[in-house]
Amino acid sequence: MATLPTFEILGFPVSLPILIISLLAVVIIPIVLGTLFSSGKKPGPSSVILLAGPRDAGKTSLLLYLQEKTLIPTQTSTTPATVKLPPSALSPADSQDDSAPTKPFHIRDTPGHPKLRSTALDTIIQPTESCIGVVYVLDSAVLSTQARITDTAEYLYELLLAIQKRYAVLSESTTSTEPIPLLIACNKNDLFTALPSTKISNLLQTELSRMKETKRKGLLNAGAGENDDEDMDHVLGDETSDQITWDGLKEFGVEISVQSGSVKSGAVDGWTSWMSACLDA
Amino acid sequence: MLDLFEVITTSGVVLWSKSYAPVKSSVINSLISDVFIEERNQPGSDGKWFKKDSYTLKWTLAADVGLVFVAVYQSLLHLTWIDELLDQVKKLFVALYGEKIKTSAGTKIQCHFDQYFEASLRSLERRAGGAAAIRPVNASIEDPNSDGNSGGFSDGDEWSAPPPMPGVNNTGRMNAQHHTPQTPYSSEKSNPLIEITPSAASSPVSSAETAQALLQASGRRPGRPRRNRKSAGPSSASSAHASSGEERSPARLSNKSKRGKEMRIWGEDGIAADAGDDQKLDYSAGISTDEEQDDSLRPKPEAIDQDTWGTRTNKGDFLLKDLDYEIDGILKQANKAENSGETSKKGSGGLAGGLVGGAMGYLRNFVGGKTLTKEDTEKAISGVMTHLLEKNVAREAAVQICDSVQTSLIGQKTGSFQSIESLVKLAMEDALRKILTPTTSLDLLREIGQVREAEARPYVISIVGVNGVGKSTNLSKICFFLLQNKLKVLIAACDTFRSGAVEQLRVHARNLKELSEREGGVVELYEKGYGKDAANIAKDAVSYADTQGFDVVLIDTAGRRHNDQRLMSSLEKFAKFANPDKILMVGEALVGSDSVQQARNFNAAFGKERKLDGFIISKCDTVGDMVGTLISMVFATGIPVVFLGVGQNYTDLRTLNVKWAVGLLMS
Repeated sequence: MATLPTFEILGFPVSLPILIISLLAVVIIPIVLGTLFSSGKKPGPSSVILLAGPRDAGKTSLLLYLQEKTLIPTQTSTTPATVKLPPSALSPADSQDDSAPTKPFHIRDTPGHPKLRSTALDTIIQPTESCIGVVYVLDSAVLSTQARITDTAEYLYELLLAIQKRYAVLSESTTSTEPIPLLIACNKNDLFTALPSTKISNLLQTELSRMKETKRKGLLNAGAGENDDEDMDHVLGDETSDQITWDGLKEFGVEISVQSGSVKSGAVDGWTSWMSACLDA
Repeated sequence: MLDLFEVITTSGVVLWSKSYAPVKSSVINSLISDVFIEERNQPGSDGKWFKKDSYTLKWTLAADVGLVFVAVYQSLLHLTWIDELLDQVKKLFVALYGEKIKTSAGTKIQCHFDQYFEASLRSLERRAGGAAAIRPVNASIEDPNSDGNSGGFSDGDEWSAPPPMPGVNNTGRMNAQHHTPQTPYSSEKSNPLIEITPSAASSPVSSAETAQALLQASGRRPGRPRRNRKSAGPSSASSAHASSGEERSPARLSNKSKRGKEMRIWGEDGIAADAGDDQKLDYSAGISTDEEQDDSLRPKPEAIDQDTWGTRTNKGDFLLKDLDYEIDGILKQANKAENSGETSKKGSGGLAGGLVGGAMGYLRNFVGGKTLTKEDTEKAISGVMTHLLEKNVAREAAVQICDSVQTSLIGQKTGSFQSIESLVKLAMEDALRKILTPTTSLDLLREIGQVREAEARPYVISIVGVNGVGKSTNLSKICFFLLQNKLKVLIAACDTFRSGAVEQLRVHARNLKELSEREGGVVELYEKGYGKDAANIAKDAVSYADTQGFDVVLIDTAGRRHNDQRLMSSLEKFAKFANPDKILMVGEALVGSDSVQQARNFNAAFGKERKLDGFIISKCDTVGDMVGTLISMVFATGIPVVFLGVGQNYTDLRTLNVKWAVGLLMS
């Protein structure tokens, strides 16, 4: 055995390999431990259904209703919340439906205030984040005023654009990509002024078309052209026409359905069966 | 009195609430969206309170568990103990449910907090009672004269030298009388008790009636003889009869009310006061049974106790005692934890412990998982602040933004391998994005279309700003943009002050006409020369455009210094006469710390109802990446940036891209 150089530290003889190994251990172990402990958090939760929509539409109420099966008072949200729910949360309280999916799933509630909409959009745009469906909750009782229609449609436009982007990114990387289902949940149909879902569907399609037209005619963004990848697909749907229809958007990665309901009167069965269908897919 | 107390998670769930009067949920919603999300403090509030409708809201945050505690009360009342209540409830709630909330990830949890809240509210009211006890009495005496005891409340806060009123002296003496019986002195004690009971026993006639009697009696006592003499009609006999019967009981009643009020601030409404009476009665009876077994008195209070009040108060009393101990314990623990946290940070306790702690803390700086305190973030925050200042953000705005970022960070944990600097930078990016993101749609074309469709009138845009910032230039850029979209535009030359202003616009109009002839747009100049009143010209221009079927009216105004009151005051009349759909203010990207004041003054110049609708930031091409003016102006007013001017050509007009701006600011 070749004589290895030894050192004396605090009176103990220590050989060079041991010294090196121990030094390495000192450096590496915290790193390994750190990554181990944090790795549990890194990938977001799986099978996430996203709740989005303008404020005061009833997103948080819907989430709480699914969780607790009762109506719970809420105020304006400022942070998103992700909740893990058992599949039984989707089945109506009285029926024993065995065909319900067995896997637990997550619901992500996002704030609807215009300044905080980026939380929902970021979730969608990140291709690594799971998003098996989007529920766009809106207040069907206030859509009689133009300002609220504009507001509602504007957010929907951004949301659809984000989904389209995600779809484009995903379809490049993988061979087959399913379109993301999006449910337009017309909440508060128990109110007298509530519009029926077909009417809302038409209103939104015309408004989105008009929005697309003015966006095309509108001014350029500041900083446009500096980073082209950002502005590539700023057009929602087909580039040749300004018309936006739910069917037309299917090939751009969104499958839209519209359903009325009401959290307050407990009429959410249509929405929950839509969610179960999402989970099954 | 307190109207509503709510505990809300940041994700919007109302965990617990207690309402004493119906309050619309929009009151708290507007607090959240105005103060928490848009970070617009009401003038003079300094971020401590918020007024909405007739309510004042106060709040406190528990950032580590993501809770908001909000107290709502009538603005007329001056409740000094609200801050203390919020603090105490926050400590209690976090101690009791903090763990549960952390595991539940911001959704509903079960909490039975009512008793705790009631107990701490009661104890605070009692503590404040020393001062408060005099006020309601004073108010109730004044009541018939002043006809509004709310004034008495607010005045009472500045209670220094009360006007010598006969009633006050009286009450003082009666109070003294009433305190003495509490000492074991049975012969004196029996008197008031026996005298009280009949009136109380007869009082169940109607609580409202007795309350009325209470109010009347207390008011009548000083002036009754005179009034009786005046109304010496046939009814006086009956009224005298009634009052003579009443005379004893009102005196007693008011007497009792004073005793009740020593304890709490009772509501102005009679019912609460009456309930207090009964409760007070039982309470004293309870004491008497504890301290002295006076058998002769026992049955009578018992007989009243058969009413629901009695058992309830008895129960409440027992509960109260237990709870008080518990609450005290929790609060002490919370305080201790706070203190020990501070001392452990400062004092280096044991040498070994200090070393290990220091090493771990040092390691956490790199590995992450460190819970941030104010001191930790100090360095990173000041770094970001200098960076913002270098980007030409006004100092006032930079300081406030940094403060709010700092408070939002305290209590957060750093991620793995995340340094404090990067965390602060991320938080700052978020804050800037939040500031710049508009809350309303800024699509001008769509709005014009909607107005034309729905109301068939021209859409009016007026442009204001300081001298030489580029009002006319940006107006003609907007005009060019509208003309390209085949709209019919009328330019109104309302700068009737500076020589050459009208001629300048005429040149622009001629150029634009030539440029847009092929596109199909129509542009015309509406001018009335110099020296006329701008508001009238604007009004005429709008009505002219209406008759001629123009789509849009663009109004150019004279430049004015934002701190010249004389010039600014004419804007109010202008806004009223022309009634523009959009008032846009042009601000230079070059301007530094003055931008905040410019934005504020212009925003306030149009009167109470009208505000600015947007900013045009001109000359952005001259500042490179130092676009801090954007932030300063939007932050000061909460009004979005609609356009950016980025060059000398008609086409050099852009809309704001928030991502781009934040990128420039943080680079």
